[in-house]
Amino acid sequence: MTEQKKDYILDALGELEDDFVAEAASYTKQKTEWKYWRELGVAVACVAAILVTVKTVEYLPIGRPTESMVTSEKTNLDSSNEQEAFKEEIIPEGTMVQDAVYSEGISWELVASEMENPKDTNDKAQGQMIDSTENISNKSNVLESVQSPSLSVRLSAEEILDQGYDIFKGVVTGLQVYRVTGKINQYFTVATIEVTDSIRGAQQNGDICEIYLPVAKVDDMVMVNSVSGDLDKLEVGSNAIFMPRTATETTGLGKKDLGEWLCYADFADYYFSEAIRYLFLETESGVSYEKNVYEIPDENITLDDVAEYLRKMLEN
Amino acid sequence: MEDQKIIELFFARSELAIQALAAKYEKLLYKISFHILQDSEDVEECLNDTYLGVWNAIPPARPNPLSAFVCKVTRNLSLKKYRAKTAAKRDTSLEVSLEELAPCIPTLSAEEEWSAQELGRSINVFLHTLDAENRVLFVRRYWFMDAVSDIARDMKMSENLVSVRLRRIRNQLKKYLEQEGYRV
Repeated sequence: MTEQKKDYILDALGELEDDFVAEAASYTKQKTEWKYWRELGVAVACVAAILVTVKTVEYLPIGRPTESMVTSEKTNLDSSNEQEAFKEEIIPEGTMVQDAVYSEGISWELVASEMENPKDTNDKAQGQMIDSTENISNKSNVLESVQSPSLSVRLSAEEILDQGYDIFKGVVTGLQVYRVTGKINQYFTVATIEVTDSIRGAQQNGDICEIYLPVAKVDDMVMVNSVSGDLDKLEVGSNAIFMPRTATETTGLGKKDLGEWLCYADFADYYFSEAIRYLFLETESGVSYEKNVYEIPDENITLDDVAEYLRKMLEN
Repeated sequence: MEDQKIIELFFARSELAIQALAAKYEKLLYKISFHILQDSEDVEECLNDTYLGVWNAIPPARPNPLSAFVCKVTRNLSLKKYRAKTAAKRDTSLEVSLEELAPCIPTLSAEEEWSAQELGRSINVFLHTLDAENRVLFVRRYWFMDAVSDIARDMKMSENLVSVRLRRIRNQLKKYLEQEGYRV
Protein backbone atom coordinates (compact mmCIF):
# COMPACT_ATOMS: atom_id res chain seq x y z
CA MET A 1 0.00 0.00 0.00
CA THR A 2 1.36 3.40 -0.92
CA GLU A 3 1.93 6.11 1.67
CA GLN A 4 -0.55 8.20 -0.31
CA LYS A 5 -3.31 5.64 0.04
CA LYS A 6 -2.46 5.17 3.70
CA ASP A 7 -2.84 8.89 4.28
CA TYR A 8 -6.04 8.89 2.26
CA ILE A 9 -7.59 6.20 4.48
CA LEU A 10 -6.35 7.84 7.67
CA ASP A 11 -7.73 11.19 6.59
CA ALA A 12 -11.07 9.66 5.67
CA LEU A 13 -11.28 7.89 9.01
CA GLY A 14 -10.37 11.16 10.67
CA GLU A 15 -13.73 12.47 9.49
CA LEU A 16 -15.64 9.99 11.64
CA GLU A 17 -18.38 11.59 13.68
CA ASP A 18 -17.55 12.41 17.27
CA ASP A 19 -20.49 10.36 18.47
CA PHE A 20 -19.10 7.21 16.90
CA VAL A 21 -15.74 7.75 18.56
CA ALA A 22 -17.33 8.47 21.93
CA GLU A 23 -19.64 5.48 21.55
CA ALA A 24 -16.72 3.15 20.85
CA ALA A 25 -14.63 4.63 23.65
CA SER A 26 -17.29 4.01 26.25
CA TYR A 27 -19.06 0.95 24.88
CA THR A 28 -19.64 -1.92 27.24
CA LYS A 29 -21.61 -4.95 26.29
CA GLN A 30 -24.58 -5.24 28.57
CA LYS A 31 -27.41 -7.60 29.02
CA THR A 32 -30.63 -6.34 30.36
CA GLU A 33 -32.03 -8.08 33.41
CA TRP A 34 -35.03 -9.42 31.55
CA LYS A 35 -32.75 -11.11 29.08
CA TYR A 36 -31.00 -12.92 31.94
CA TRP A 37 -34.30 -14.10 33.32
CA ARG A 38 -35.51 -15.13 29.92
CA GLU A 39 -32.34 -17.09 29.20
CA LEU A 40 -32.43 -18.61 32.66
CA GLY A 41 -36.04 -19.67 32.13
CA VAL A 42 -35.25 -21.26 28.80
CA ALA A 43 -32.18 -22.97 30.26
CA VAL A 44 -34.15 -24.37 33.19
CA ALA A 45 -36.85 -25.62 30.85
CA CYS A 46 -34.28 -27.26 28.61
CA VAL A 47 -32.47 -28.90 31.52
CA ALA A 48 -35.75 -30.24 32.84
CA ALA A 49 -36.64 -31.66 29.46
CA ILE A 50 -33.24 -33.24 29.13
CA LEU A 51 -33.33 -34.80 32.59
CA VAL A 52 -36.68 -36.38 31.94
CA THR A 53 -35.85 -37.83 28.57
CA VAL A 54 -32.22 -38.72 28.87
CA LYS A 55 -30.72 -40.83 31.61
CA THR A 56 -27.87 -42.50 29.87
CA VAL A 57 -26.30 -39.68 27.96
CA GLU A 58 -24.28 -37.18 29.93
CA TYR A 59 -23.78 -34.64 27.23
CA LEU A 60 -26.44 -33.41 24.86
CA PRO A 61 -27.82 -32.63 22.36
CA ILE A 62 -26.03 -35.29 20.36
CA GLY A 63 -23.32 -37.71 21.15
CA ARG A 64 -21.28 -40.27 19.46
CA PRO A 65 -23.80 -43.00 18.85
CA THR A 66 -23.84 -45.63 21.53
CA GLU A 67 -25.77 -48.87 21.52
CA SER A 68 -28.46 -47.37 23.64
CA MET A 69 -28.87 -44.52 21.26
CA VAL A 70 -29.01 -46.45 18.06
CA THR A 71 -32.17 -47.92 16.71
CA SER A 72 -30.71 -50.88 14.92
CA GLU A 73 -33.66 -51.32 12.59
CA LYS A 74 -32.99 -47.92 11.12
CA THR A 75 -29.45 -48.62 10.13
CA ASN A 76 -27.69 -51.28 8.17
CA LEU A 77 -24.47 -50.71 10.02
CA ASP A 78 -23.45 -53.48 12.34
CA SER A 79 -21.13 -52.78 15.23
CA SER A 80 -17.98 -53.62 13.29
CA ASN A 81 -19.00 -51.24 10.55
CA GLU A 82 -19.62 -48.59 13.14
CA GLN A 83 -16.13 -49.07 14.54
CA GLU A 84 -14.80 -48.94 11.02
CA ALA A 85 -16.51 -45.64 10.51
CA PHE A 86 -14.72 -44.05 13.42
CA LYS A 87 -11.39 -45.81 13.68
CA GLU A 88 -9.45 -43.66 11.24
CA GLU A 89 -9.82 -40.63 13.43
CA ILE A 90 -6.66 -39.87 15.34
CA ILE A 91 -7.19 -37.02 17.68
CA PRO A 92 -4.78 -35.51 20.16
CA GLU A 93 -6.52 -35.77 23.47
CA GLY A 94 -6.77 -32.94 25.91
CA THR A 95 -5.66 -30.14 23.68
CA MET A 96 -7.51 -26.90 23.64
CA VAL A 97 -9.74 -25.78 20.87
CA GLN A 98 -7.61 -23.81 18.47
CA ASP A 99 -8.47 -20.13 18.53
CA ALA A 100 -11.16 -20.82 21.07
CA VAL A 101 -11.77 -18.18 23.65
CA TYR A 102 -14.47 -19.65 25.82
CA SER A 103 -14.18 -23.38 25.31
CA GLU A 104 -12.07 -25.36 27.71
CA GLY A 105 -10.28 -28.68 27.74
CA ILE A 106 -11.48 -30.03 24.43
CA SER A 107 -9.91 -30.88 21.14
CA TRP A 108 -11.67 -30.79 17.86
CA GLU A 109 -11.22 -31.51 14.24
CA LEU A 110 -12.99 -30.76 11.01
CA VAL A 111 -14.30 -34.04 9.72
CA ALA A 112 -15.96 -32.98 6.51
CA SER A 113 -16.65 -29.82 4.62
CA GLU A 114 -18.84 -28.83 1.76
CA MET A 115 -18.79 -25.19 0.77
CA GLU A 116 -20.43 -23.48 -2.15
CA ASN A 117 -17.69 -20.89 -2.05
CA PRO A 118 -14.46 -22.13 -0.46
CA LYS A 119 -13.60 -18.55 0.52
CA ASP A 120 -16.50 -18.61 2.93
CA THR A 121 -14.93 -21.38 4.94
CA ASN A 122 -15.37 -20.86 8.64
CA ASP A 123 -12.19 -19.45 10.16
CA LYS A 124 -12.17 -22.39 12.54
CA ALA A 125 -11.52 -24.83 9.73
CA GLN A 126 -7.83 -24.97 10.39
CA GLY A 127 -7.85 -28.11 12.44
CA GLN A 128 -6.85 -31.53 11.40
CA MET A 129 -8.99 -32.35 8.42
CA ILE A 130 -9.20 -36.08 7.97
CA ASP A 131 -11.65 -36.26 5.18
CA SER A 132 -13.33 -34.07 2.66
CA THR A 133 -16.48 -33.40 0.76
CA GLU A 134 -17.12 -36.98 -0.27
CA ASN A 135 -17.91 -37.84 3.32
CA ILE A 136 -21.12 -35.94 3.26
CA SER A 137 -23.60 -38.20 1.61
CA ASN A 138 -27.20 -37.75 0.80
CA LYS A 139 -27.77 -41.47 1.00
CA SER A 140 -27.35 -41.58 4.72
CA ASN A 141 -28.43 -44.12 7.20
CA VAL A 142 -30.03 -42.70 10.24
CA LEU A 143 -28.71 -43.21 13.71
CA GLU A 144 -31.07 -41.65 16.10
CA SER A 145 -31.43 -41.60 19.81
CA VAL A 146 -34.21 -43.40 21.62
CA GLN A 147 -35.33 -40.18 23.18
CA SER A 148 -38.93 -39.32 22.70
CA PRO A 149 -39.60 -35.80 21.50
CA SER A 150 -38.80 -33.66 24.48
CA LEU A 151 -40.86 -30.64 23.63
CA SER A 152 -42.31 -30.68 27.08
CA VAL A 153 -42.21 -26.93 27.15
CA ARG A 154 -45.43 -26.20 25.32
CA LEU A 155 -45.22 -22.81 23.73
CA SER A 156 -47.60 -21.13 21.38
CA ALA A 157 -46.41 -19.42 18.21
CA GLU A 158 -46.74 -16.06 19.97
CA GLU A 159 -44.66 -17.24 22.91
CA ILE A 160 -41.98 -18.60 20.60
CA LEU A 161 -41.77 -15.33 18.73
CA ASP A 162 -41.72 -13.44 22.02
CA GLN A 163 -38.46 -15.18 22.83
CA GLY A 164 -36.89 -12.57 20.61
CA TYR A 165 -34.57 -14.74 18.55
CA ASP A 166 -33.32 -13.41 15.23
CA ILE A 167 -35.41 -14.62 12.30
CA PHE A 168 -34.17 -14.72 8.76
CA LYS A 169 -34.65 -16.53 5.51
CA GLY A 170 -31.46 -17.80 3.96
CA VAL A 171 -29.74 -20.27 1.73
CA VAL A 172 -27.23 -22.79 3.04
CA THR A 173 -23.90 -22.13 1.34
CA GLY A 174 -21.76 -24.45 3.41
CA LEU A 175 -21.77 -27.31 5.86
CA GLN A 176 -18.82 -28.24 7.97
CA VAL A 177 -18.85 -31.23 10.26
CA TYR A 178 -16.72 -31.21 13.37
CA ARG A 179 -15.92 -33.77 15.98
CA VAL A 180 -15.07 -32.88 19.54
CA THR A 181 -13.38 -35.45 21.72
CA GLY A 182 -13.20 -35.92 25.46
CA LYS A 183 -16.27 -36.48 27.57
CA ILE A 184 -18.08 -34.23 25.15
CA ASN A 185 -17.84 -36.83 22.47
CA GLN A 186 -19.83 -34.95 19.91
CA TYR A 187 -20.25 -34.44 16.27
CA PHE A 188 -21.83 -31.25 15.16
CA THR A 189 -22.19 -29.17 12.03
CA VAL A 190 -21.61 -25.52 11.35
CA ALA A 191 -23.89 -24.29 8.59
CA THR A 192 -22.97 -21.18 6.67
CA ILE A 193 -26.04 -19.22 5.69
CA GLU A 194 -26.41 -16.36 3.26
CA VAL A 195 -29.26 -14.24 4.50
CA THR A 196 -31.78 -13.44 1.76
CA ASP A 197 -34.56 -11.94 3.85
CA SER A 198 -34.03 -10.62 7.34
CA ILE A 199 -37.31 -10.77 9.23
CA ARG A 200 -36.07 -9.75 12.65
CA GLY A 201 -32.71 -9.15 14.25
CA ALA A 202 -29.20 -8.05 13.44
CA GLN A 203 -28.78 -9.86 10.15
CA GLN A 204 -29.18 -7.94 6.94
CA ASN A 205 -29.91 -9.22 3.47
CA GLY A 206 -26.66 -10.44 1.96
CA ASP A 207 -25.03 -11.11 5.31
CA ILE A 208 -23.25 -14.36 5.90
CA CYS A 209 -23.67 -16.03 9.26
CA GLU A 210 -22.91 -19.37 10.83
CA ILE A 211 -25.19 -21.61 12.84
CA TYR A 212 -24.21 -24.48 15.11
CA LEU A 213 -26.39 -27.50 14.31
CA PRO A 214 -26.65 -30.41 16.75
CA VAL A 215 -26.63 -32.91 13.90
CA ALA A 216 -23.97 -34.40 11.68
CA LYS A 217 -23.63 -36.53 8.60
CA VAL A 218 -20.47 -38.57 8.49
CA ASP A 219 -19.64 -41.59 6.38
CA ASP A 220 -23.21 -42.34 5.33
CA MET A 221 -24.47 -41.92 8.84
CA VAL A 222 -26.70 -39.21 10.15
CA MET A 223 -26.46 -38.38 13.82
CA VAL A 224 -29.47 -36.59 15.12
CA ASN A 225 -31.53 -36.42 18.23
CA SER A 226 -35.23 -36.23 18.65
CA VAL A 227 -35.42 -32.45 18.81
CA SER A 228 -33.28 -31.76 15.77
CA GLY A 229 -36.30 -31.43 13.54
CA ASP A 230 -35.28 -31.09 9.92
CA LEU A 231 -31.75 -29.96 10.61
CA ASP A 232 -30.33 -33.19 9.22
CA LYS A 233 -32.09 -32.47 5.94
CA LEU A 234 -30.24 -29.20 5.40
CA GLU A 235 -27.95 -29.38 2.42
CA VAL A 236 -25.85 -26.87 0.55
CA GLY A 237 -28.40 -24.98 -1.51
CA SER A 238 -31.30 -25.53 0.92
CA ASN A 239 -33.61 -22.61 1.52
CA ALA A 240 -35.15 -22.15 4.94
CA ILE A 241 -36.32 -19.70 7.52
CA PHE A 242 -34.18 -19.91 10.61
CA MET A 243 -35.00 -18.82 14.14
CA PRO A 244 -31.74 -19.69 15.88
CA ARG A 245 -30.49 -18.56 19.26
CA THR A 246 -27.55 -16.23 19.53
CA ALA A 247 -24.34 -17.97 20.59
CA THR A 248 -22.67 -16.33 23.54
CA GLU A 249 -19.87 -17.22 25.92
CA THR A 250 -22.42 -18.87 28.19
CA THR A 251 -24.01 -21.18 25.64
CA GLY A 252 -22.46 -24.54 24.92
CA LEU A 253 -22.08 -28.15 25.87
CA GLY A 254 -20.33 -29.85 28.74
CA LYS A 255 -19.42 -28.70 32.20
CA LYS A 256 -17.12 -25.84 32.92
CA ASP A 257 -16.40 -27.05 36.44
CA LEU A 258 -15.19 -30.37 35.05
CA GLY A 259 -12.92 -28.49 32.69
CA GLU A 260 -14.69 -29.53 29.50
CA TRP A 261 -16.74 -26.90 27.82
CA LEU A 262 -17.62 -26.54 24.17
CA CYS A 263 -18.76 -23.01 23.60
CA TYR A 264 -20.93 -22.50 20.55
CA ALA A 265 -19.67 -18.94 20.14
CA ASP A 266 -16.23 -20.28 19.30
CA PHE A 267 -17.66 -21.81 16.17
CA ALA A 268 -20.75 -19.92 15.12
CA ASP A 269 -22.89 -16.84 15.56
CA TYR A 270 -26.02 -18.82 16.37
CA TYR A 271 -27.06 -22.25 17.52
CA PHE A 272 -30.05 -24.55 17.54
CA SER A 273 -30.75 -26.67 20.55
CA GLU A 274 -34.15 -27.59 19.22
CA ALA A 275 -35.21 -27.00 15.68
CA ILE A 276 -38.65 -28.54 15.32
CA ARG A 277 -40.35 -25.26 16.10
CA TYR A 278 -37.56 -22.95 14.98
CA LEU A 279 -36.99 -23.99 11.39
CA PHE A 280 -39.11 -23.75 8.25
CA LEU A 281 -37.45 -25.81 5.55
CA GLU A 282 -38.30 -25.72 1.87
CA THR A 283 -38.57 -29.28 0.58
CA GLU A 284 -39.75 -30.88 -2.64
CA SER A 285 -43.11 -31.52 -1.03
CA GLY A 286 -43.55 -28.00 0.30
CA VAL A 287 -42.46 -26.21 3.42
CA SER A 288 -41.73 -28.46 6.39
CA TYR A 289 -42.52 -26.93 9.76
CA GLU A 290 -44.28 -27.64 13.06
CA LYS A 291 -47.92 -27.48 12.09
CA ASN A 292 -49.08 -28.05 15.66
CA VAL A 293 -47.64 -24.69 16.62
CA TYR A 294 -47.98 -22.43 13.63
CA GLU A 295 -51.41 -22.06 12.10
CA ILE A 296 -50.53 -20.94 8.61
CA PRO A 297 -53.65 -21.03 6.46
CA ASP A 298 -52.71 -22.63 3.15
CA GLU A 299 -51.43 -26.05 2.38
CA ASN A 300 -49.32 -25.01 -0.56
CA ILE A 301 -47.38 -22.33 1.20
CA THR A 302 -43.96 -21.13 0.21
CA LEU A 303 -41.21 -19.74 2.40
CA ASP A 304 -42.30 -16.27 1.34
CA ASP A 305 -45.77 -17.03 2.71
CA VAL A 306 -44.18 -18.12 5.96
CA ALA A 307 -42.13 -14.93 6.06
CA GLU A 308 -45.28 -12.90 5.57
CA TYR A 309 -47.07 -14.87 8.28
CA LEU A 310 -44.21 -14.31 10.72
CA ARG A 311 -44.07 -10.60 9.92
CA LYS A 312 -47.77 -10.26 10.60
CA MET A 313 -47.38 -12.14 13.88
CA LEU A 314 -44.55 -9.82 14.85
CA GLU A 315 -46.61 -6.75 14.03
CA ASN A 316 -49.37 -7.85 16.38
CA MET B 1 -15.22 13.57 37.33
CA GLU B 2 -17.93 14.43 34.82
CA ASP B 3 -16.84 15.87 31.49
CA GLN B 4 -18.82 19.03 32.11
CA LYS B 5 -16.90 19.72 35.31
CA ILE B 6 -13.59 19.13 33.57
CA ILE B 7 -14.57 21.63 30.90
CA GLU B 8 -15.52 24.15 33.58
CA LEU B 9 -12.03 23.74 35.06
CA PHE B 10 -10.54 24.51 31.66
CA PHE B 11 -12.72 27.58 31.40
CA ALA B 12 -11.55 28.64 34.86
CA ARG B 13 -7.96 28.13 33.60
CA SER B 14 -7.31 25.82 36.52
CA GLU B 15 -4.35 23.46 36.21
CA LEU B 16 -6.52 20.87 37.87
CA ALA B 17 -8.25 20.61 34.51
CA ILE B 18 -5.24 18.82 33.00
CA GLN B 19 -5.00 16.51 36.00
CA ALA B 20 -8.68 15.68 35.81
CA LEU B 21 -8.49 15.11 32.07
CA ALA B 22 -5.46 12.86 32.44
CA ALA B 23 -7.02 10.93 35.31
CA LYS B 24 -10.07 10.16 33.23
CA TYR B 25 -8.69 9.65 29.74
CA GLU B 26 -4.96 9.02 29.85
CA LYS B 27 -5.27 5.25 29.60
CA LEU B 28 -7.47 5.51 26.53
CA LEU B 29 -5.32 8.20 24.92
CA TYR B 30 -2.16 6.24 25.60
CA LYS B 31 -3.65 3.25 23.84
CA ILE B 32 -4.65 5.26 20.77
CA SER B 33 -1.24 6.84 20.49
CA PHE B 34 0.69 3.65 21.17
CA HIS B 35 -1.18 1.78 18.44
CA ILE B 36 0.15 4.34 15.99
CA LEU B 37 3.60 5.12 17.34
CA GLN B 38 4.63 1.94 19.20
CA ASP B 39 7.10 3.94 21.24
CA SER B 40 6.52 4.92 24.85
CA GLU B 41 8.61 8.07 24.69
CA ASP B 42 6.85 9.29 21.57
CA VAL B 43 3.52 8.49 23.16
CA GLU B 44 4.35 10.44 26.33
CA GLU B 45 5.36 13.37 24.20
CA CYS B 46 2.19 13.09 22.20
CA LEU B 47 0.03 13.01 25.31
CA ASN B 48 1.70 16.13 26.65
CA ASP B 49 1.02 17.80 23.31
CA THR B 50 -2.58 16.62 23.56
CA TYR B 51 -3.05 18.24 26.97
CA LEU B 52 -1.45 21.42 25.71
CA GLY B 53 -3.67 21.36 22.63
CA VAL B 54 -6.79 20.87 24.69
CA TRP B 55 -5.67 23.63 27.08
CA ASN B 56 -5.35 25.99 24.11
CA ALA B 57 -8.62 24.91 22.53
CA ILE B 58 -10.84 25.14 25.62
CA PRO B 59 -12.00 27.89 25.85
CA PRO B 60 -13.40 28.96 23.47
CA ALA B 61 -14.33 25.41 22.39
CA ARG B 62 -16.80 23.53 24.55
CA PRO B 63 -16.58 20.06 23.01
CA ASN B 64 -19.36 17.60 23.47
CA PRO B 65 -18.58 14.77 23.82
CA LEU B 66 -15.23 15.60 25.39
CA SER B 67 -14.00 12.03 25.00
CA ALA B 68 -14.24 12.15 21.21
CA PHE B 69 -12.54 15.52 21.13
CA VAL B 70 -9.48 14.47 23.12
CA CYS B 71 -9.29 11.15 21.29
CA LYS B 72 -9.24 12.98 17.97
CA VAL B 73 -6.57 15.41 19.15
CA THR B 74 -4.40 12.51 20.30
CA ARG B 75 -4.94 10.57 17.10
CA ASN B 76 -4.13 13.56 14.90
CA LEU B 77 -0.99 14.41 16.84
CA SER B 78 0.13 10.78 16.81
CA LEU B 79 -0.41 10.53 13.07
CA LYS B 80 1.47 13.77 12.55
CA LYS B 81 4.41 12.39 14.48
CA TYR B 82 4.12 9.07 12.68
CA ARG B 83 4.23 10.77 9.30
CA ALA B 84 7.15 12.93 10.35
CA LYS B 85 9.28 9.89 10.97
CA THR B 86 11.31 9.15 7.90
CA ALA B 87 11.35 5.37 8.18
CA ALA B 88 7.86 4.00 8.00
CA LYS B 89 7.30 1.46 10.69
CA ARG B 90 6.00 -1.93 9.80
CA ASP B 91 3.75 -4.22 11.76
CA THR B 92 2.36 -1.50 13.97
CA SER B 93 -1.31 -1.79 14.83
CA LEU B 94 -1.87 1.05 12.41
CA GLU B 95 -0.22 -0.80 9.54
CA VAL B 96 -2.06 -4.01 10.26
CA SER B 97 -5.49 -2.43 10.48
CA LEU B 98 -4.87 -0.29 7.38
CA GLU B 99 -3.81 -3.30 5.35
CA GLU B 100 -7.02 -4.99 6.40
CA LEU B 101 -9.22 -2.07 5.42
CA ALA B 102 -7.43 -1.00 2.23
CA PRO B 103 -9.18 -3.46 -0.14
CA CYS B 104 -12.55 -1.86 0.68
CA ILE B 105 -11.33 1.66 0.06
CA PRO B 106 -11.52 3.25 -3.40
CA THR B 107 -8.46 3.42 -5.58
CA LEU B 108 -6.97 6.82 -5.57
CA SER B 109 -5.98 9.02 -8.46
CA ALA B 110 -4.43 12.46 -8.31
CA GLU B 111 -7.73 14.04 -9.25
CA GLU B 112 -9.49 12.26 -6.45
CA GLU B 113 -7.13 13.33 -3.72
CA TRP B 114 -9.56 15.93 -2.52
CA SER B 115 -12.14 13.29 -1.79
CA ALA B 116 -10.85 11.92 1.52
CA GLN B 117 -13.33 14.16 3.29
CA GLU B 118 -16.08 12.96 0.98
CA LEU B 119 -15.12 9.36 1.61
CA GLY B 120 -15.15 10.06 5.35
CA ARG B 121 -18.69 11.36 5.05
CA SER B 122 -19.72 8.25 3.12
CA ILE B 123 -18.21 6.05 5.80
CA ASN B 124 -20.19 8.00 8.39
CA VAL B 125 -23.40 7.36 6.48
CA PHE B 126 -22.50 3.69 6.21
CA LEU B 127 -21.81 3.48 9.94
CA HIS B 128 -25.28 4.84 10.64
CA THR B 129 -26.71 1.77 8.91
CA LEU B 130 -24.94 -0.61 11.30
CA ASP B 131 -26.20 -1.60 14.70
CA ALA B 132 -24.28 -0.23 17.66
CA GLU B 133 -22.27 -3.36 18.27
CA ASN B 134 -21.00 -3.67 14.70
CA ARG B 135 -20.31 0.05 14.58
CA VAL B 136 -18.22 -0.17 17.72
CA LEU B 137 -16.34 -3.14 16.29
CA PHE B 138 -15.49 -1.12 13.18
CA VAL B 139 -14.49 2.04 15.00
CA ARG B 140 -12.40 0.20 17.57
CA ARG B 141 -10.55 -1.73 14.91
CA TYR B 142 -10.01 0.96 12.29
CA TRP B 143 -10.12 4.22 14.19
CA PHE B 144 -8.68 3.20 17.57
CA MET B 145 -6.65 0.46 15.84
CA ASP B 146 -7.31 -1.93 18.68
CA ALA B 147 -6.11 -5.49 18.32
CA VAL B 148 -8.76 -8.10 17.58
CA SER B 149 -7.86 -9.89 20.81
CA ASP B 150 -8.45 -6.72 22.85
CA ILE B 151 -11.78 -6.07 21.15
CA ALA B 152 -12.84 -9.67 21.72
CA ARG B 153 -11.97 -9.46 25.40
CA ASP B 154 -13.72 -6.15 25.96
CA MET B 155 -16.81 -7.05 23.98
CA LYS B 156 -17.05 -10.57 25.39
CA MET B 157 -16.81 -12.25 22.01
CA SER B 158 -14.52 -14.85 20.58
CA GLU B 159 -11.65 -13.55 18.46
CA ASN B 160 -13.06 -15.60 15.64
CA LEU B 161 -16.41 -13.94 15.94
CA VAL B 162 -14.80 -10.49 15.93
CA SER B 163 -12.77 -11.36 12.85
CA VAL B 164 -15.76 -12.80 11.06
CA ARG B 165 -17.91 -9.79 11.87
CA LEU B 166 -15.22 -7.35 10.79
CA ARG B 167 -14.86 -9.23 7.54
CA ARG B 168 -18.60 -8.93 6.95
CA ILE B 169 -18.60 -5.24 7.81
CA ARG B 170 -15.73 -4.63 5.40
CA ASN B 171 -17.62 -6.49 2.68
CA GLN B 172 -20.72 -4.43 3.41
CA LEU B 173 -18.66 -1.24 3.31
CA LYS B 174 -17.14 -2.22 0.00
CA LYS B 175 -20.57 -2.96 -1.45
CA TYR B 176 -21.92 0.31 -0.08
CA LEU B 177 -19.08 2.38 -1.50
CA GLU B 178 -19.49 0.73 -4.89
CA GLN B 179 -23.19 1.58 -4.83
CA GLU B 180 -22.20 5.15 -4.05
CA GLY B 181 -20.14 5.25 -7.22
CA TYR B 182 -16.67 4.73 -5.81
CA ARG B 183 -14.30 2.55 -7.79
CA VAL B 184 -13.19 -0.03 -5.21
